[in-house]
Amino acid sequence: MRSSNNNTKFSLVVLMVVLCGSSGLASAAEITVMGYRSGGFQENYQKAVIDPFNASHPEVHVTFYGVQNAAVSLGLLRAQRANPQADAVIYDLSVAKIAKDEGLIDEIDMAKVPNAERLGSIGRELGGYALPLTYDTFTLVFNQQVFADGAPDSWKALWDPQHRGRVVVPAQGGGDIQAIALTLLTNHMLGADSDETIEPAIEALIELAPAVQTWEPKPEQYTLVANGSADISVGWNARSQYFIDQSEGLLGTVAPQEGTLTQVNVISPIAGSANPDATQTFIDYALSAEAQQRFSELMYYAPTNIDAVLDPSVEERVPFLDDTQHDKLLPVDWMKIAAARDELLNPWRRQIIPASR
Amino acid sequence: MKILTANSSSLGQLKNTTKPRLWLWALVLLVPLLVINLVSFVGPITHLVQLSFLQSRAGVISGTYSLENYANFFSDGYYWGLIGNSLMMSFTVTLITLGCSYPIALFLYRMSASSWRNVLFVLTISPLLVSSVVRTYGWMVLLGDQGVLNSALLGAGLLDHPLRLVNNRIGVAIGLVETLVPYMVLSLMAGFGRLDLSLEEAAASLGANRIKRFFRIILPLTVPGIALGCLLCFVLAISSFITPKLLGGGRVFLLATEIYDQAVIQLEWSMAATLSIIVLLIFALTLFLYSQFARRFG
Repeated sequence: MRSSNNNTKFSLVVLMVVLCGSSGLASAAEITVMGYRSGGFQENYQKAVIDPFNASHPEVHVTFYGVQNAAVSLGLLRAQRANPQADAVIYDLSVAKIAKDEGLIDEIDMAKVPNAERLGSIGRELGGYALPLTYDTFTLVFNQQVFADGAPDSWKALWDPQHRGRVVVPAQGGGDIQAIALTLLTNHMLGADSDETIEPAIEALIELAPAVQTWEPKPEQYTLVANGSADISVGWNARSQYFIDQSEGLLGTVAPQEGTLTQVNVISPIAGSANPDATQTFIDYALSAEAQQRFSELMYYAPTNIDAVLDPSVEERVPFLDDTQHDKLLPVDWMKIAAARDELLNPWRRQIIPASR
Repeated sequence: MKILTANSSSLGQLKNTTKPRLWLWALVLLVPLLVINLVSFVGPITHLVQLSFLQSRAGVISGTYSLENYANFFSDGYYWGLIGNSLMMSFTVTLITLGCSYPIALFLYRMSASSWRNVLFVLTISPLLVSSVVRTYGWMVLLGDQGVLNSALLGAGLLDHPLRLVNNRIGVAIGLVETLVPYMVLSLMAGFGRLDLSLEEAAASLGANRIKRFFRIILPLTVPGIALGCLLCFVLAISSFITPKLLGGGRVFLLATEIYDQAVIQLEWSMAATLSIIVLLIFALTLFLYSQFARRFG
């Protein structure tokens, strides 16, 4: 009898614990944030932003869902239009424009996201639909052993015959955002205005093509350059810095003297989210100075919140924050680029890459 | 007689009532298959066809239907080039695979049933046990500029600079042939049923040498296996995506890789759907040609 009573008591206690636990969970709004998976992004975003947010906001619980790239995010948004499984998305500004035009994202209520007022001016073209979350810059990526005498200081280093067959130009799928960036910077280097013509860049890239080892580096160009399979490439500063740490200094990266350009990652609330208020609470936190500072110090992105102050050792590894480089930033209208994507990428598929066969 | 008549009529009634029941049961048994087909094949294909007719501007899909994507496809030499590249690559790979697989299949078929035959057969098809991604990465390691082959040749002083064996068409062809050999061997062996050793012996007794015996006896009798293997390998080659993507270095543009690029990189889902429909039509044409060939020579 005693045993039976004990069992009943134990069952009741377990039931109460389960009920209390589930009611506790039920009171917290569950939201999912979709963003990049690779290059340490997911791991570091979890550490710098999601975990501290969950600890300081018991009323909301955020889960990060990592995807391969911004295009995959757009694909999921399209596929889940009727029943979205995520509440906010972190992706590239030019992809955000497509999401906005297709009605896949919502406009943020600025009253609920006060940190939006503290953001920089770059990457705000979509207003409340997509707020800038990180700034990154396009850089040269090189093998430190090959360039033992000094880092390359010009985009022209790609054309150096000494590196013929050992140059990697990432142009995935016949041209992606990196191909667009290289087109614009080559044109700028040659003194041409991309609003008028990109012909000088196309001609120069056709000339470069035979020296290119691969247009679709597998794994990424950072690994190929770090392990000595290639001498030089182009890429993003944040990822380069991540791989510099991973390769223990075998990789190097530099923003060349001719200047560079900025890529903007933005955050948007997804249309049809079941928890719009909790989503905006998170977005506000993600844009706060402390969250931006923590993430930038792990990933070397430039923070978009103007109040975020980085450690000097980190700051010197972020060209966007270097006054000289900042002054030389090539202004890019990513909205215009999104509309003219075909015109910019068709030459890659039809002229530049075929010139390397 | 009366009893017999009565029995016959009840048998007739029984037959009449059993037939509809059998049909009903057959339909009930077919329902799961029909549902699976509708959900996993007819539904997606219908959606694909619908998507291929939707207009798209800079990646943004509008709700307007038009023939624009098909018009762009047929009026643009770039896409014709893709078809040409894909057909050429698939034909070449199929022929090389056939050349590599035929002697292996014939040897295995003629071996007397023994444990060695089983061992060799398992070895031949064992690559199928490993993911094609893993095997393709293996080729990258073997054939790369700093790979095993180039290092050996450079080390032996036979080369001044590494041979370019990956990040181009050669790499894709090597990877695809290696992937397809087991399929070809299996198809050839399945089609070797008409091969009879006594026919060869008869030809030999009449003075036919080895070459004559091969071209007059063996080859004609193995045509069904060759046709089946070529069909399978051609279809697999033209739809292959991983090997060209990993070993092509972004230089080898084929229909399958273009569909991926249009959907995932260029974000042009409508054009990707149009290309998918074109590939389906190529498959249909290939199957039609195969059926005609099989009817004539099978």
